Amino acid sequence: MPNDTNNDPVAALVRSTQTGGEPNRAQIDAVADLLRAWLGRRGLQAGEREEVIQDAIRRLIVHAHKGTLDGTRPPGAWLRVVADHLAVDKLRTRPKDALVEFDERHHGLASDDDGISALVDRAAAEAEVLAATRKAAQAGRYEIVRVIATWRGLARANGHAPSTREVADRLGISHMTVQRALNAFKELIES
Amino acid sequence: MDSQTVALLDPQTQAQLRETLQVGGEPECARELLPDSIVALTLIGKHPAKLRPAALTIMPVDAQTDLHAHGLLEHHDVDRIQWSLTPKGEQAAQALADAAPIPSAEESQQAEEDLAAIARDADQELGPFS
Repeated sequence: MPNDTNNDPVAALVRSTQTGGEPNRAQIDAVADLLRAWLGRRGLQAGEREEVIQDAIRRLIVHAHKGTLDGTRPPGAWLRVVADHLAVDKLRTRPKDALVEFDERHHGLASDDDGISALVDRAAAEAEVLAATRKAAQAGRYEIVRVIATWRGLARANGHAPSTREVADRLGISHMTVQRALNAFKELIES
Repeated sequence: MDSQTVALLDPQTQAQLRETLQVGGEPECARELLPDSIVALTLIGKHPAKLRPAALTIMPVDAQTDLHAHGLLEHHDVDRIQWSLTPKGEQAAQALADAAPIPSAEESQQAEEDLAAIARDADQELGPFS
């Protein structure tokens, strides 16, 4: 079996599991490293993060064994969603947990790559955002709805604006697709 | 509740819930809603009707945005309870709640253990309740 750990460690682990062998330790470690990078901005303590990582990988292996992963989507996208939920579970158990204060100065310091996504923050009047996403859905532009909804969810959970790449990873789509959706959303907000 | 959320993300369960929406006359919702939105709407459907508006206020913002865009939620400019299900949303939430699989004995046991672990961690962090 070709070693594609460097290209997509999650897919490699899934394939290895589905062929009936014991999960490869090196592949598990590669997926764990990926999850550590994804979860790095979640505000978890080290012990909490490792628990989330172990739980998420365990669930991935179970589903790979059962053959219940959606073969039409990258397994990394599924794993990311599960890990995010497990991380939020952890944060919710704390007494001072996931309440996020909107901080315009912080959100305004988005990098160049996040310049468009920062627009979503500045257009942050709830009614404006909701009206624009509903308009997008009514026009059949569902990609805009998914991107904006996901952007808002990540911003709330992380306490700061996500990058377009984070949104792309979460949805299992390209970074360019996210940028196009954000550009289109900007037009809707301004129309 | 948290373990239930993760269980509802199971790909087979997601497919089943989307089929429910499709059969219920909501093909666009079936096709386009985010997985988290379907989970959130299912959980709302499991609440008694009188508790749903309150439960909607703590729904994750990504699900709120998505479900509102699809005409399943409405947002109101009032001080306290700001969200409500539309008639379409009520129907969809109830259908999803009815269709969501009942966890097996093993899954229920795991959920109870997960919740017990969370309670133990909370006790440790907060001190015993007295």
